[in-house]
Amino acid sequence: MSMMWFRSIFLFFLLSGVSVFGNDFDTLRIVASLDTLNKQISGYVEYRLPEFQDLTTAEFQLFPNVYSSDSTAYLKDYKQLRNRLKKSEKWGWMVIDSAFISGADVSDSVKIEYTRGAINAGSSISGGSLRLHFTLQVPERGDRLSYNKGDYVLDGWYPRPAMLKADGTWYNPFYSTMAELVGDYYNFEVEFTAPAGYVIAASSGPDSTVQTEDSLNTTFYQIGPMHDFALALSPHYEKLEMEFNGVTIGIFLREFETPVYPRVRNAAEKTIEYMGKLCRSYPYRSLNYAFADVGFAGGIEMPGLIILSSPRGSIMATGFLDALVIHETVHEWFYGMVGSDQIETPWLDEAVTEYFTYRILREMHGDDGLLLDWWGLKVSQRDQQRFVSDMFDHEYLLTNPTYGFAEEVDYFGVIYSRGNLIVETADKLLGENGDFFWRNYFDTYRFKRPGTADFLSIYKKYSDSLSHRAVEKMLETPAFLDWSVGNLDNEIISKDTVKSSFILGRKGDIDNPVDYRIYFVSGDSLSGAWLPKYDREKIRIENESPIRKVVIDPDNVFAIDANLLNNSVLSGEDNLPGFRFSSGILFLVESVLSYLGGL
Amino acid sequence: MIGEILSQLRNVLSLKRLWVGLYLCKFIMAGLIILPFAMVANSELSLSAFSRSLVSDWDLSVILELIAQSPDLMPMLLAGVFAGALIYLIIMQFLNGGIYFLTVSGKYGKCDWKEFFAECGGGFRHNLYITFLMLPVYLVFLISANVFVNIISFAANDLIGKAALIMMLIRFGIIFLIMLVVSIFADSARSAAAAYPDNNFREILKIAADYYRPRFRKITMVYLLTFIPFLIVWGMVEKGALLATGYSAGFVGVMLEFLLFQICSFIRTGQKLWYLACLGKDFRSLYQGRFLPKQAELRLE
Repeated sequence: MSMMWFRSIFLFFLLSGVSVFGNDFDTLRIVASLDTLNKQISGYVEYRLPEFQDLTTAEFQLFPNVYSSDSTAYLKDYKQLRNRLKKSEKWGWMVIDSAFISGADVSDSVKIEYTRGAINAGSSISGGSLRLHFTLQVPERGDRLSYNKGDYVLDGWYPRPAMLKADGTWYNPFYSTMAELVGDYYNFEVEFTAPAGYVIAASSGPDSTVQTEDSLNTTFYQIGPMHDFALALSPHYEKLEMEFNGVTIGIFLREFETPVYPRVRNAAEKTIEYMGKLCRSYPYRSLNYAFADVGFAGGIEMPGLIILSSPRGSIMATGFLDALVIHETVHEWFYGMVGSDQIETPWLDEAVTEYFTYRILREMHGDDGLLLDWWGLKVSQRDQQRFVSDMFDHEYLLTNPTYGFAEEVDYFGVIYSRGNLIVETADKLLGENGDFFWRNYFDTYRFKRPGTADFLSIYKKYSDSLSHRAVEKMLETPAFLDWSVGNLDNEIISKDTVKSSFILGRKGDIDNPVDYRIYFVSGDSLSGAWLPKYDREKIRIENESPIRKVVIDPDNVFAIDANLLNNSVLSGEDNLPGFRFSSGILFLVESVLSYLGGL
Repeated sequence: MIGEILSQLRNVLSLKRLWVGLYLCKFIMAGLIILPFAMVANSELSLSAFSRSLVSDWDLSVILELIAQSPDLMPMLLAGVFAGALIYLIIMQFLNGGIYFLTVSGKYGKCDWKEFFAECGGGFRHNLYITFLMLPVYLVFLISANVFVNIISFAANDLIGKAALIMMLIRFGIIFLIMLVVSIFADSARSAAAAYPDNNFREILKIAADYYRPRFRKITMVYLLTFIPFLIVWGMVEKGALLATGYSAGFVGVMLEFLLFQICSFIRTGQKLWYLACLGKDFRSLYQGRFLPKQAELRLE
């Protein structure tokens, strides 16, 4: 009785004003309960179909079917997860028990193929209300949808609406390996029932929780606009909460994970502050972080909720944990609020997010975002990205869809590492206009789903034609660029006159001008700009002092430059760096010989 | 025990020419191994201002850029290390004959180079056999040690950050200890080969086993006690090197660091000789073999 009362009051307040941003978004209602004995969730979702003339079909996504067998497109190339599920045989799946459109039973018309569900109603269902009753089997130790020893991570746990295109056809994503969830924005109303004793981290802070007679808790959530609603549950979670810039940050962790709390909090606050200044403030009332054993090292971003893999191991003694928290938090803006399609244009969220992660790490740690500074050994995020970016097939385009990559390592190398360098180059080419561009891009596509063309159309407004063309090339061709400077020569003519020359070089087909800087022995310096008409050009200078050093692209505007070693030339050889490096390697080899040979 | 160990230091000091020679052998071999690597690395780094940060820090950005631009560099180094280590291993089996002769016989300062190299040649075959025998033994124990530490560290599964780092060091320490105990058998066998050169290989191994079984704990302790000073020196050298290059990011700092590294390498050679001197004395006290004093020889008629 009390539940019905409460539901009535809840619905009353719902109808009177739902979303953070008014009523521009439809409502997606989910009512479900978790059966921890059978690891199942059952319930229903309800939402309004789009208004479109002669709409006779409805489509929806059943993401959990990616875990239904070892031959699914999702698991086919996902060896680690596939083997785990094969071994445990605790697969995941979702079925539709019944379907109703505007009250009419259309269950017999439901067709399901892999993750794509469809209903052909035969007559117009435009603007009608679709209700799908479902049962979900949660897989054991999946990735974004899984249970592990009584803990749950629930993403994609309800039937998700497909997206209607302008031509009236449905976009129902095909989930292959590395694909992440795609969806439209809704105001979510969620009623989730789980056993009492479970602490729940969700995409929103709870509006209220009601305990029913049989030791179950039903929690009510209301949040929007978002394109997903996720939860993480554990009977072992401790929740630590703090307020920052009007946002309630919740960190859900197990007892042994409490040592990392200050670092997670610090990284989260730093990111919320930074992204709030750059784009817009985080608009929702809460942002939750939950640690879970997800079967890989990393994180999963969902709107309002970030899952972090348990920080076991010594790697968390370095800055990698900070980088992870920052990266996933930035996703709340690029992916969460700017909802680009992660399957068709993964670079728009991953490469962009990786770039802002780098910027925030630089603010926090300086020096190209140092992740480790230990006994003189410096490792930065930039090092990692440049090295990984160079390792992969440069024939892949940044704008490749997720399914366009043959290997997972190519995907991460190109989209994350190389993508970050390309986005950085694009940003630096804008100069002072960079931050204005990001703000405009964010404002224009907030709660929308932009593509590469949308990104470029905003970019065009803030860039000159050369920069725009350069960015187009970097995105749409396997662009290669290598600036170089060499053959420095100083010819002393008289006491006051030195004729110097050096050769600037360019490999690749980016036509932009590039800065160079000349450092004289006298201590003076001179800056210039080279507009490459040809791939190599000799620069001649007459000055009072010989040239000590020439650097091309001194500010590393072109972060995708393939070789930084040839970006500078010295007037005389400096053997010290090579000697020091060799000295260290010599000592290392001597140590190896000591242990192998006995002395 | 500490008194015994310290007393052997004097004997090691009397072997200073051997000590220097062994160190130089290691230095030259390592130098030859890295020479091609050093030439390529230097040619890439010497004209670039980007590499300058390597003088004061182990800047991974420079190292990774170097590896990316010269993809053959690391395979070349690894191939060199593999080949060089193999050659060095064989050279050491030759030298072990003389080294173990000196330490087991106790003839410090009384052995000329002719006798030393004669013993090297004489003991080469047995020392080589011991190496061939011990290689699979090391492999088996290395795998077993890894399995063992994986089992015991299961209880420490939930460690994070620095605690996890310390656990990693403990795991490494346990593996090191297990491998050390195994390597002491090899040292016992080499000592037996030095004392009983005319016995066949099986008999040598039996003598080694008879010596090793009751004594391995004591000898392990001896090794660790001689190793600790080296560890302290190593830590001081690393810190000193950092300070040298940090405060004097130029020629002086780099040369100072190079010298410190070589001092450390030199002391490592001395540490092993010191340990072998202690082992040799202990072995001789129980198994004199051909080093039995003449008046103790029995002649049965």
